[in-house]
Parts: sequence; C-alpha cells; structure tokens
Amino acid sequence: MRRTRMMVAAVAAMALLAACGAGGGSNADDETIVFGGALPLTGWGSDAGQLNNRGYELWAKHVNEDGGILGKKVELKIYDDQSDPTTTARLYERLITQDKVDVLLAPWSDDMTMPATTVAEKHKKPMLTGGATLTDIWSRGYEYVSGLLPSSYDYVGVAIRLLGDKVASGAVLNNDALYTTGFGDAAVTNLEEQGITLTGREAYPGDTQNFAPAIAAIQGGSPELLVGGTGGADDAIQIVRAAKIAGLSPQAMYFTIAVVEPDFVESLGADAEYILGTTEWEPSLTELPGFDRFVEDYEAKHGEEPVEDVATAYGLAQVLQAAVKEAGELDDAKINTALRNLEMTTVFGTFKVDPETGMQTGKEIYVIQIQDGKREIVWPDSDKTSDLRFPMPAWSDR
Amino acid sequence: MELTILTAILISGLATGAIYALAAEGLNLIWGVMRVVNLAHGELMMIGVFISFALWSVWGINPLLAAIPAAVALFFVGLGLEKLFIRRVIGSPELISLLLTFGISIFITNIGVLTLGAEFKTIRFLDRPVSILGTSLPLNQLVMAAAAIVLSLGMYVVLQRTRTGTAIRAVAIDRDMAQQVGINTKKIFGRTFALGAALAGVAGALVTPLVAFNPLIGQTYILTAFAVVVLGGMGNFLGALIAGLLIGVVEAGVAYTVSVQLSSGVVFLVIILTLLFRPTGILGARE
Repeated sequence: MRRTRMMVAAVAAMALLAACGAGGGSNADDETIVFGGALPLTGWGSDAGQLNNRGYELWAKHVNEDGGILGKKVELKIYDDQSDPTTTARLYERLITQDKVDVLLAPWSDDMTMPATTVAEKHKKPMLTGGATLTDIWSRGYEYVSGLLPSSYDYVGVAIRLLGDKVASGAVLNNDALYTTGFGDAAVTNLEEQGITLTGREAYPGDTQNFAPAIAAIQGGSPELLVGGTGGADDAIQIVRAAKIAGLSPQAMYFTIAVVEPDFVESLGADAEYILGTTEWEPSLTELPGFDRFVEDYEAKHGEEPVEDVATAYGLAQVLQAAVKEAGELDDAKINTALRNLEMTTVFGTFKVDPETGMQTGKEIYVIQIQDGKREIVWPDSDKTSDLRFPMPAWSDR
Repeated sequence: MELTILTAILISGLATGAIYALAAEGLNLIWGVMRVVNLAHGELMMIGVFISFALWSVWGINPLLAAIPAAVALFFVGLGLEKLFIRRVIGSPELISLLLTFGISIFITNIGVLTLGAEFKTIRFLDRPVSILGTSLPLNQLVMAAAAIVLSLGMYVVLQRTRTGTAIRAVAIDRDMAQQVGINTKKIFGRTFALGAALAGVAGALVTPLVAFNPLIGQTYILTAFAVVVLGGMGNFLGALIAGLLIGVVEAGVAYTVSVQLSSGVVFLVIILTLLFRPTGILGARE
C-alpha cells in the first residue's frame, strides 16, 4: 500500500515536471503571462527602441484593461541590448533559459534580429520579428521564426516593379550596414527581374562624410533610375545633395526608409520633389480595428502622434496575443502553428505569413512620391492619392 | 586617370582633410603638452556641432559665425573639465588618462543621446555647386575647408608668437624646466586643455553644413583624428595640419579610384604603416 502511494507520488511528480518542460511556460506565477524581449533602449538604435517599447507598453496596458489573455494578466520584461547584436543574443538566451518568459517579443532592426532569431530557433521558441526586413531571416529554413514586416525583396520591389517599363537602366547605392545591404541586394534582384540593366553598384560606410566619390562611381553609367538603399533620411539627404552638385540626373530616384521621415522633405525642400519611397503604414487609408484607442491613448500619454515604430510593436504584440488565444494554452509549438497560419488585421495593418517560411506575404506596401512638399501614394491604384510624376526633370531644368 | 577625377581627388580630399586636421589639432596639442590622450575630444567636437546647430535653428546664425561662440563655450567647458577631472591624472600613466577621458566621452555621448535624441540632423548652408577645373564641388565644403586652414595656421601663429603660446611650447618641451623658469604649469595645463577643447568646438561648428549629425558624431571623427596625430607626429602641431590634408587626399583617392567602402579603412592603414615604418610621424614627434 505504502509502495503504491509512493509510486503514485513519483508518477505525479514526473508528470508535473514533464508538463512544465513541454509547456515552455514554466513561469512560476500562474496568474500572469510574461512577454519578454530586448530592445535598443540606448545607443544608436535608441530612438526606434524607445518607440517600440512604448508600443509594447501601450499594448500591455490595453490587454490588461480588457481582462488579459486566457484570463491571465500580461506582464512585460524588456531588456536594453544597447544597440549591440551580441548583447541581444545573450539577452534572448537569458529570457528563454533563465527568466523562462512565456512569449518572446521582437528585438529591433536586422542587426539585432539575425542573432536573436538564431537563439529563438535553437530553443524552439516562436519569434515574430518586428523591425526587420532582411530576406535572410526567413530563408534559413527556421521553423520558429515568422515576420511582421514584408521582406526587403518586396519592400524595394514594389517601387522597382512600378518603374519596370519606364526605365531601361538603374544603379544601386547602399549603406553597407546589414539591413541596407539587404535593400541593395533586393534592388539588384528586382532590377534583373524587370529587365532593367544594372549600370553600377556601390556600397558606402555608415559614417561616410563625403558622398561625392560614391556619386562619381555610378555617374559614369548614366543610370535612368537611382536606387538608394539608405538607412534613414540622413544618408539619403546627403546623396541627393551630392547628386545635385555632381549634376547626376536620373529619371527617377528611390530611397528606402528615408522618404517617410519628415526630415527628408524639411531638409531638402524643393530638391525632394519627384523622389520615390515605400511605406508600410498609412493608417489614414484603411479602417484598422482598435486604431482610435491606440492613437488617443498614445497621444494622451506621450503628447505626440504615434509613428510607424510604435504601431509595429503594438501590432506585433496584437498578433502574438491572437496566436496565444488561438493556441488556447502557453504551448510553444501550438503558438508557433497559430503564428504561421493566422490571418488578421492589427493597428499596423494586415498580417499573413507564408506557412512554409514564415515570411510576411499579406502586408500591404505603398509606393509614395514627394509631390509639392507632401508624401502622396502613387501605388497601388486602389489606394493612390495622386498619379506618379515621371520622369524627374534634370537638376539644371528645375 | 582622367583630369577631372584627379582634380576631384585633390580638391575634395584637401577640403575633407582640412577639417580632419582641425579636429586633430586640439587632440594633438593636449597630448603634446599634457601627455593626456583625450578620448573625449570627439564629444567636445559634438558639443560644438550642436551649438552651431542650435544657433542656426533658432537665430539663423551661419556656422562660420557660430564657430566663435562654439569656441568660447568649449574653451570654458575645457577649463571646467581640466579643473574637475583631467588635472588629477596629469603625470599618471597614460592608461589612467585614457580611462578617464573614455569615461567622460561615454558620459557626454549618452547625455547627448538622452537630451537630443539619436536621429540625424542636417542644415543647409551655401549648398550650391562650384565648378573648379571641370569638377563640381559644393561651395560649403570649400568655404569650411578654407576657414579650417586659416584657423589652423592662426593657431600655429598663436603658439609661436604669443607669450601663452611660448609658455605652452616650453611646458611641452620640458615641464620641470618650464616650472623652474617661472612658468605656472598648472595654469598652462588648464589653458592648453581649454584651447584644445575650443579647437574641437570650432571643428564641430564647421562640419555642421557638410554632414548629417547626431550626438554620436564624435566617434566618427576621433579615429581619424588619431590617425592624423600619429601620422603628423605626436605633439607636432604643423605635422597635424599636413597629415590631415594628406589623409583627406589619400582617402578621396581610394574612394574615387578603388572603392568608397575601402576608403574608410585608410585611416587604419595609415596608423599601422606609420607606427611600423616611421613611428615619430612625418614631421617627427615631440619628445
């Protein structure tokens, strides 16, 4: 009798241990679900990192106001990776193995996402990436990594496809950072697919002080299209200025990221006209559920309008929330399956990934052009606010 | 090689080099006189950048004029830093001053990022092309470079001709002897650090129309400044000017003829080759 009781106790203990191990959510506190991640709260990525953090915080506040997920409160655990990818990897290792968080939140930028996804995959912990577009993230055959943003191939591609039958040649100039090199590579692939001759490609270091040599390197090929794989308005502004000084006048100019930043038009003034860009977040266009609450509460707390980075983080967490709900329990495998098969709309927009690769395929991307000092949507036709202005007149004629 | 490329390399290189030289001269002065490696030099320059940016955004004061208040402000910042921190490590092993100024640089950078944000800013000043021998160059680059060279030479004259300049040089050559002939070395250290900081401030003000900047800009200049100091000869003021121009031209040469990406490696190569083959620099180090 006594032996049987001990056996039962042993089996129960083992079952309990097994349950903890399999569940992944071995968080000691059963009343809360811990969402953990690392963001660049200091260092070069701190602006975006802080905005992402605000997005996560606002989301957690809203979820808890609405009664939490699966009847449990949500708790955030965000570390500062100091904009250093090695630290990011270490922190995700810690979040998974020591803190045993229930659900992973995304880091920010390709540089930090590359190592973080490797750690997540190693531990079979699902990760939905946020501010990252590098095609390599999803082409490594990882089973636990899905993306919220479209890949750089499509991000750059929509603009080049729009110009496919308008220009015959193109040159690519990109910042040599990881993500902007990804934009440059994506541009080359898209140019090839559109039958546009590549007349030159040049990479420049992130701390380039003088863009004249980079412009000179591609000017010889007289490209009809200039694709700038820029990391932000800062390098794009300098490229446009250097192009104007050198008299490089392609029929179209396109820059990644830069064109959506208010600085771009402010700094360049009339020289920004005709320049093309892409954007993923144009909230004014679509009826996004929960959008008003998102904007109102954000403005009330921070005294300014939310920008794309905030919406990305908030929308990302919304997808994770839906995936946990869909899984019905804190089971990593089930959450992962849910992430790969969900179709939904968040404050950031539509979400649907390729179930095989985890690459985002459902997100709308818009091509924008600076027209009369404003960003106008020129593609897709269903959403456009203005017609494409083409070609861009030569600097000497403006 | 086409003539236009050659002129582009020369003029654009000299223009960038003039700024490098100015950025390095303060560092060099402080090293030469105080034997302190000021790793916070780039951050002092960053303060100059933002003083110029603030004056431009609020009152539309152009960066050439802004260089004056930037120099004055940084002179006092330098004086304060020397009094509070640097003074305590003069004469200690170099590693101590290295760690101290490294700490100061991290502190200033992060205060900058916290208060000003990390996003890049630009200003538009004399942003139009000038054609020289078939090469088109931005006017602001030429004007700022000319100002940098004039200021460098002016500083050289100050060091050679004025009483304080002579005293500074005397302390650099032999601290103990200078003290024995009645030079107040403590005061000279303070003034030297302040002058070095003022030079950083001026360099900062002058680069504002040329580049996009954020509070991390100091880090992009400090390495080049070190290469300039090493190549010019540690503590050699005129050497820094020549080395700065030379590095600018070599960098432009690599950028125009080989690859833009590789051009940023030029400074490393300069440091390595100089230390291997002519450790005293082209004009010889002050010993």
